[in-house]
Amino acid sequence: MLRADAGGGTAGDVWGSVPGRRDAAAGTALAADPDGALMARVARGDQGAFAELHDRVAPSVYGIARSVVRDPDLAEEIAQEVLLELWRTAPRFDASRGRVRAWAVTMAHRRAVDRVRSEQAGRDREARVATEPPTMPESSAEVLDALDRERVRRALDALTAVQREAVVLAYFGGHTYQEVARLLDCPEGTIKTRIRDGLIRLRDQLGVDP
Amino acid sequence: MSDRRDEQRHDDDLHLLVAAYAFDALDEAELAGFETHLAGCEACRVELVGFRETAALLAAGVAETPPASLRTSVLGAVDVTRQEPPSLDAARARRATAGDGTAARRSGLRVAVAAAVLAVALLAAGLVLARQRSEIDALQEVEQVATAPDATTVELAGDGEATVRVISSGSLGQAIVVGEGLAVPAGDRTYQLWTIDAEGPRPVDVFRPDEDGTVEVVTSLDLGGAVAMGITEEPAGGSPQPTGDILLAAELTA
Repeated sequence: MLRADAGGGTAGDVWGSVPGRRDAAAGTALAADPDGALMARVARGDQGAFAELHDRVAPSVYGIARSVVRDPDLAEEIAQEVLLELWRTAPRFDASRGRVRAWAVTMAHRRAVDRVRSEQAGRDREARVATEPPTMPESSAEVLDALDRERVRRALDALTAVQREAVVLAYFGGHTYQEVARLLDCPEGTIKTRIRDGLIRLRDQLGVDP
Repeated sequence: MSDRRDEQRHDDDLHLLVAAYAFDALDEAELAGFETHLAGCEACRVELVGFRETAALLAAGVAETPPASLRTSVLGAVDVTRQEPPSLDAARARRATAGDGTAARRSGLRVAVAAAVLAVALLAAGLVLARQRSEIDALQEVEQVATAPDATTVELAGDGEATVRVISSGSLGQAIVVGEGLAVPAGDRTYQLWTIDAEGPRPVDVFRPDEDGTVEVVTSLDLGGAVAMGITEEPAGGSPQPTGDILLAAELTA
């Protein structure tokens, strides 16, 4: 296990270790959360609203978990944990810390990464990835707005090839930047910079307020 | 001086790690150090929020229809999974932005007090809370009932100055009993709240006011087919059927 909170982590872990984060989030002037109203109802125990919210976020949650762990059963297990956590902790959800979807995806990604890094599967996966060129996995969600998918693809296309490679391996592949450096046979400092520059460009491309 | 430069360089290095952190791409060795830095660095925290939102949008690029079994198991589990009580911060934030659907409405009495607003007043007044619970737990219970979408308020009145409000949520099966101006009963006596339905009175809970005549307790309550609520004085511990006069009462109209 790489993290002290691996596996048994709760919703609070995602933001919990960061005191003063409310101020930080408030400074970013995020646009209104499209899932905010639904989440407010879920926070009051509305199961119908939760079913609706589930259907909105489950494809991203499952998709990112699957992208990292590859195994569909494990991805489903992770998605189930995260979605149930979303229900359980909804009354404590604080919108000033970010959007509902970002919360769920962050949780799913972190848990997926914890699983693969704590298992032999992680090492096997690394070996396999080393022999495959990194590509962005295809999306298959009918529910997903094709526009979203296109927007992500365009944003990734706006990166330099080396930035894209580093971002895809780190985020979609769930690798540490040190692992990415080994896989690409580059100095760690170079990869750190590529990930950072790539993410800044993606943020701007996708219209997220810095 | 050189120490300071080293420290500066160290901080610059750490700033560079926000992106990798947002991608969960730091290894164990760096994680703890970075989180410590993050706790004290507002610039990094601000940047992190934007990076996480970006990552969430990227995840939409690999969104995939999950197996149907996921939905079945999650929604099935929700049915038997209790939610955590709201943190006070979250409840306040929600009240500030929502304010809908929480207004109390029970026709007949039409006590048009928004339960949410009432909760604020209670907190402001710093009323003494049920002693057997820790203060924070009690506050959270109060918040949860007061902000429930189906919260309704019933005001019980009698001949005197005393008033008791019962704010209840059918979905939670809980109520807050808030009273003031209550005479403090003798040591071996207590107040008891009753619901009254077609078959007669049913005991709800017993409570004693504080020295200043105020009370605020959270109790289980199922209004069921109740047509009225009443309060009597009873021997300590309460009675299965009322033995005292009804001191305060309210009719309920469905």
